[in-house]
Amino acid sequence: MFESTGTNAVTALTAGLKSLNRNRRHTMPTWLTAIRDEGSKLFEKAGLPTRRHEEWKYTDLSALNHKSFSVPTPNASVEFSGPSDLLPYLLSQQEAFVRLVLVDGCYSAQLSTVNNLPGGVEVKSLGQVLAHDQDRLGPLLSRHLANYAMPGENSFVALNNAYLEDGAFVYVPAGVKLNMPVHLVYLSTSHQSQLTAVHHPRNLVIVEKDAQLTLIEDYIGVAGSNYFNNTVSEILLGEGADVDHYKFQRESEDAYHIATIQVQQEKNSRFSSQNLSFGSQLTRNDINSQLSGPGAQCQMNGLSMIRGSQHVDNHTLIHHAYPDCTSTQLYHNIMDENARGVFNGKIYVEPEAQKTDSQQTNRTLMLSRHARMDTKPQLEIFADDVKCSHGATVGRIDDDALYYLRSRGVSAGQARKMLTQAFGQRMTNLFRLDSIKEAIDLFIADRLEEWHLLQSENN
Amino acid sequence: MLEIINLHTSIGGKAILKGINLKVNPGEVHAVMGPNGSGKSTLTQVIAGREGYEVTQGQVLYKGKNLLDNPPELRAREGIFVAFQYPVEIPGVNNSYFMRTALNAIRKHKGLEELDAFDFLAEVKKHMKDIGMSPDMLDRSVNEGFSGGEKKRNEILQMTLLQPELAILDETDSGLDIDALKIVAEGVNRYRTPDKAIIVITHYQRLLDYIKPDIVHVLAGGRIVKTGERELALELEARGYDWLKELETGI
Repeated sequence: MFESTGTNAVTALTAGLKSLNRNRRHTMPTWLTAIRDEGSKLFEKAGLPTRRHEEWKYTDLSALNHKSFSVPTPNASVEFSGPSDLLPYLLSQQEAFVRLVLVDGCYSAQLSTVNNLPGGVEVKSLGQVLAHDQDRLGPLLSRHLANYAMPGENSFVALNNAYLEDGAFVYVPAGVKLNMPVHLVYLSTSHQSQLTAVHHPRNLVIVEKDAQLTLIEDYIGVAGSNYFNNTVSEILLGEGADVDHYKFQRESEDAYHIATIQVQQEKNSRFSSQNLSFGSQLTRNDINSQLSGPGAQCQMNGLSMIRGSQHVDNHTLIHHAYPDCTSTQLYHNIMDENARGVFNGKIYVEPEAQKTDSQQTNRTLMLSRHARMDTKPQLEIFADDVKCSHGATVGRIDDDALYYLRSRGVSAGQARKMLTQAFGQRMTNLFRLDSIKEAIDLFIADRLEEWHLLQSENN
Repeated sequence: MLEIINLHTSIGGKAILKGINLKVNPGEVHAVMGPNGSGKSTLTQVIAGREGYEVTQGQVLYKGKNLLDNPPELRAREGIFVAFQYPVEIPGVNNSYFMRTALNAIRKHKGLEELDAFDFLAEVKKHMKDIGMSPDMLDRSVNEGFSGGEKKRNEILQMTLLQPELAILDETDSGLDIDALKIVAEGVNRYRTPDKAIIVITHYQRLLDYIKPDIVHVLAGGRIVKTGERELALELEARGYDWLKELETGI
């Protein structure tokens, strides 16, 4: 089927951008204006990808043509007074995190708790830095911001560039091992019935040589809210740096969530990514890492747990350009009812990348006959001394295991929940941070409880 | 306690059990012996409630009531336990959590209070000590990476924990060395009381040296071709299963 190039959506998404820019031009540094202008041009030219684009073959964006979008404004629909107001939305009641909060795309000082950071560490609103800290951080930002996620290759990056305004800026100086996780919260509350609010959070994370960071990107939607989050994160790891990255997507059921995470790794660095999707009606994640030095390690893991007519599309790319690097990918999908999942795991191995060790596994658990999974490994290997493997399975709950549990007195429904939980935990077992693993396992158990109840009503 | 009356079953149109009659009373230990393909496993699976077996004729009564209409979990809660020949591995499901969930489901059915994690742990560790299982096995996933002997012990552990009234041991001895065999047998013998019934399904006589049966049945070609006392097992061992061909044709 040939769809239109989404000209309605393009117009709707860029409406108001010109006047917005006119108002802001005098406060923005020229390098930023250039990025925004280029982004705007590239987006208008390319438009939204259609299903004729190979990378979007299984994900249909045409519904965006029928939406009316509202230009991002700094007015939140929900009143907050202090950080404790945030607690009901969070997975775990951890108070010890360094927390930066954006509500509907705008930094919220009242909800953020950024104290007691070791010297040289920055966890700030990108918007605040661009507006007030140009002298000190301008050179660093202009060198790196928008230098890695390519707007010419991805129209959503172009769109995010066009609106680039706020998000998180995280900087860890050389040698600093930050043991407290940095928690970035993106809370969306917009409730306008006729308009879909659009937010373009932008994150820049720089972790210098031998530094260490645990970073959590937490996207949360208030129930019933209606919006489109188009987020871009650029994460740079210096030589020997170690970043443990978590992305939790618990957007509202009506929301759209499109995310690009572009990672650049210097030699001997380690990047581990845990990408979990639970909410939103349509999610697309592009998580890419460029291994720019020998001995780098990259682990990309993911879990999605969806039902109804939810759609989650995960595209990962690990580019081995140097020898002796290792990468692993483990993506698990739990799908019920009419949910649809897509996984495209790409590995590129350049001719110089000898002794590459790369493993990829995608497993899907179907809880219903009507769910659908499209999985495509893509390995392009140009070096000859490498170890690369990939595998994908799509299946239902193991009958033998189910029967065994029932033969011990466990009810069929309870047994299905236990086996589904086990499937999810094979992925969460890979988390480096135990406290987060426990919180997520509990969240999955609660969610299964909800799903189970729905099932027994229908039986 | 268990009464099997003229049971005929088939799988995919092929007849497997061809008229089984068996009566097991509380306090009794019955052995069912037979060559491969005689229908031993089918018998176990039908009593346990595995799907895929079609009952074409006959009945199975448990405590006087029709068993075959009940789902597996109900049979377990009513006091039936099967120690499987090839226990399945279940990665990601914690062994301890699984046993506690099962025990509590059964206790709830009997009108007993559920055990909390603490009390359960004390209880299960006691049984594990008796069977010679290391407490680390509690932290692992169900049967995952367990050796053949460890799997069989895990089955016996569940049996002693869940306290069934009718226990069926499906070739529990296969794959065990003599020491493991003795420990498993001790576990089963400790379990024998006047109110419980046990069916031991085995290919070899050896297990019956340790778990002495009251009655021995020989299963061949989907039928029980001979029933006798313990000596029958010894005779079968001495003469081999070919002897059965004579018995079969005699029917």
